[in-house]
Amino acid sequence: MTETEQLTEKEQSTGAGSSALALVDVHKSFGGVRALVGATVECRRGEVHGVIGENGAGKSTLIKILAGAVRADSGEITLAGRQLQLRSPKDARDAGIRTVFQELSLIRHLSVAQNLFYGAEPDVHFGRIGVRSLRAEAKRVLAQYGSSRISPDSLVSQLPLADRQILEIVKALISEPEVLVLDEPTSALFPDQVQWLFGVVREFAKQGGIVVFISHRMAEVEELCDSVTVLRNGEDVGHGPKSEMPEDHLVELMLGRRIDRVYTRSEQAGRIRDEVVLDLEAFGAPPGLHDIDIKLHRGETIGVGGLAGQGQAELFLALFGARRSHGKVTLNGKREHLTSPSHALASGVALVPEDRASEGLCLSLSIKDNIALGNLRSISVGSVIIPHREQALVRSSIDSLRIKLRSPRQEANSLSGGNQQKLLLSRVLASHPSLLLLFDATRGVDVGTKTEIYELMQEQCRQGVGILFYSTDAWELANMADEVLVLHDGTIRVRLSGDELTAEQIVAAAVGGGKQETAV
Amino acid sequence: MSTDLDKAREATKQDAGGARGRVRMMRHIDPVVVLPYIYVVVLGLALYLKYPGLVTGPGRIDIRAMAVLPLALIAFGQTFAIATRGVDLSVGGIVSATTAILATHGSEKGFSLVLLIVILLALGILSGLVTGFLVAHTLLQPFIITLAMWSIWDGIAFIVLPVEGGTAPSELLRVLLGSVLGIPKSVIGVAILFLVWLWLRNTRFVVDVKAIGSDEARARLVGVPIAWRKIQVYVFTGFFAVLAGIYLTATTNSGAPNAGDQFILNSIACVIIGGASMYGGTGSVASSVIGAIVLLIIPDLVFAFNLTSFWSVFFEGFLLLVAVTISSLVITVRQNRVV
Repeated sequence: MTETEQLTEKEQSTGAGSSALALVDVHKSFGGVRALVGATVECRRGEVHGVIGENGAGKSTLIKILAGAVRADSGEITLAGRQLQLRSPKDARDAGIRTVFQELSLIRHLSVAQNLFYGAEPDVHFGRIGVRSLRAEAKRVLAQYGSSRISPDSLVSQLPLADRQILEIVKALISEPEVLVLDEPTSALFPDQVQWLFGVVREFAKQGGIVVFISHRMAEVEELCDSVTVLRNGEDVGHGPKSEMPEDHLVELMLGRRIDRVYTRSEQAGRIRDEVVLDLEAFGAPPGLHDIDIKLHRGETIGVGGLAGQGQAELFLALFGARRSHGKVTLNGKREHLTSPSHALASGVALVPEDRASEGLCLSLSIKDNIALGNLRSISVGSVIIPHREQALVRSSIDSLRIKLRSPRQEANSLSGGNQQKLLLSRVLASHPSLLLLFDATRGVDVGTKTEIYELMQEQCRQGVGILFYSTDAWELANMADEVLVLHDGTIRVRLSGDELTAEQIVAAAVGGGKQETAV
Repeated sequence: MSTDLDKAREATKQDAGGARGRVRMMRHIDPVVVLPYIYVVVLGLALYLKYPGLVTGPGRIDIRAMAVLPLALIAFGQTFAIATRGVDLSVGGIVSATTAILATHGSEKGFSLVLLIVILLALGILSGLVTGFLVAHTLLQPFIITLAMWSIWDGIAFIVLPVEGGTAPSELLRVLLGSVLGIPKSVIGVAILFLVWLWLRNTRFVVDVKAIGSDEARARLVGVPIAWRKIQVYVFTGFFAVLAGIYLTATTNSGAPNAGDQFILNSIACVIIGGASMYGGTGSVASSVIGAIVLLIIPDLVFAFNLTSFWSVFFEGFLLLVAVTISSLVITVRQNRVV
């Protein structure tokens, strides 16, 4: 700590400015969706700077800009007083910025040694890579970073995930960068490996490096970072030394107060308490999901929260039969083995999947076909589709959700994001499910459509449907659910209901602070 | 720092147990790579036991290598195309056109054979440049682009030589056939392919090609010049197809407007029998050449077992099916072990 202060003092005295790496007033939009709105992040030499924020706060966009993978629309990036133009990943590397992506950048079909020195092999003659020196160098470097158990000859595809992450970090370090950007680097690591990472990162900073550490996990930010910037909705809403930013303050900043969230659901949605739609006991799905117990009644809404990638996707896909699962599943009082999506559909389970473009809709087909596809059984006799039944189904689906369109024959592709989501919902609901699984159904849709989706959820509850929905939006969970389950490491960490069910509690439980006593 | 590293080292020691060490030794030998060599030994042995004369008889090795060489040349280029997750169908058309042009114009007076061959090779490279450029800079599938290029070259072949015929220039026969120091030139040709691969396999080019096929987005992220490499790959396939066409003209002593068509799917089959995946990222020219040898043992086996030659087509398909099934089983088993 004292060393850090000395370093920064030295810099200030030489007039180099207090921040060695600065992103100032950075804007970035993706096709109308504003990811960064004037974000500013300033990091000093010799310190680990944490960047935190909820999902969708703009962290990933920020990293991509630093890595040169995405160009900012406007704003300035300076490193040690020099202004940088990062047009490509190569520009970023040349400027001395190395990014360790969450989405790993290793090439699966190549060996550890080939990956470590890709493009910077120690011995190249006439385009030929000296295999022996490459191997020896890889061995030396791995030993230097305490990872000699990883063989330089292994193919990356044969390594466990944690080793790949370690390799990625070592690869970044051996290029001797000025700036090391780490995007959620610990999500794949075991606790002792996290300690290894922290040691390596501290050493790097101590030698005058700049570290940008993006994380969801409050405990890690607490332990590792010297200063923090909090992002929310694409702007920085607070920054400063870690010592001045206690944990509850950080959570408050991450969450903010939102005015746009006017929707509140009516108190009585007519839940039928004694009839259980879904009963899970010791439910699990490989690789990570385990020991999930859920009792969902008719007309009840249960929300699922937590950090991204804590097993939510596995849970939803397994319930829809798209993943192998184990444990006891009772649907509407009947023991079920969910073996395939078509089986799940026949048992009254419907899913609105995460990625509506690739998993939900067939975008190149017409709206009519998209609605018909999931409901062929109800509109056909044998294997022949009855036109007037199809027409009636399409008509009623479009009307009930007020999908804006020119003609049912137009391509689903031509609809706006919000309308695509409504189209998907209408198709899913046309099968009259008793259990509705919504996976982040409101992501990327406008406020108006969100409200319509909320109304629809309530309407379904009134009709006795049980809803299980995952959302990255803590306010939405707190508003719409009777109970919220916060997932962590593949199982339920905290159950929140009644007065405890607030957005703050959800976020606190997700990032690992807050009241853990209620954990089952 | 040092204590943290010590901790990590400690953790390293713990899991370096004996059993795991042995497994690690085994892991480096990729069973998929060994498979084609097993096929060649097993089928070769079967042939030898059933009909030794087909293996040891006078000139048998030369005849075998003469059949293998053109297919091996095409499979050489095809290996790279498939490693990038592409494919090149145009090789068939290029081979046909080459044989047609050589068989009709090669012996003409006042026409330098060397110049003609240089022109043909240049055309092969040009074709590769066009294909590669389209693959690299459009969203079109290599399948479609090379399908069209195949048709274009086939068209040229039919215009030049509508029916099978013509003769190979005599100099060509003299240079390409026969033997040197008692070793058949065809065998030398196959050996050269192996040597070229030995040199090539550790080049920047091959590593980049595998990276592209493995995951193009990641390859871009680590700085692979993707468009340039793709263009190079299709230049390679075009160039090698012309070489195959020239050799084929010599061995058949004629040209045919459809001489190359059989090589399209067979060259892909060689690469796959050699253990590469159509999903890219893998492939070895040596294995593909072995794949060609395996594939061409089949007709002899069919002959040895006294069946009509039509059965060889049947068994070639059968072999391909067996090979890919075994590869995929091996890969599944291995994945289950690691994860």
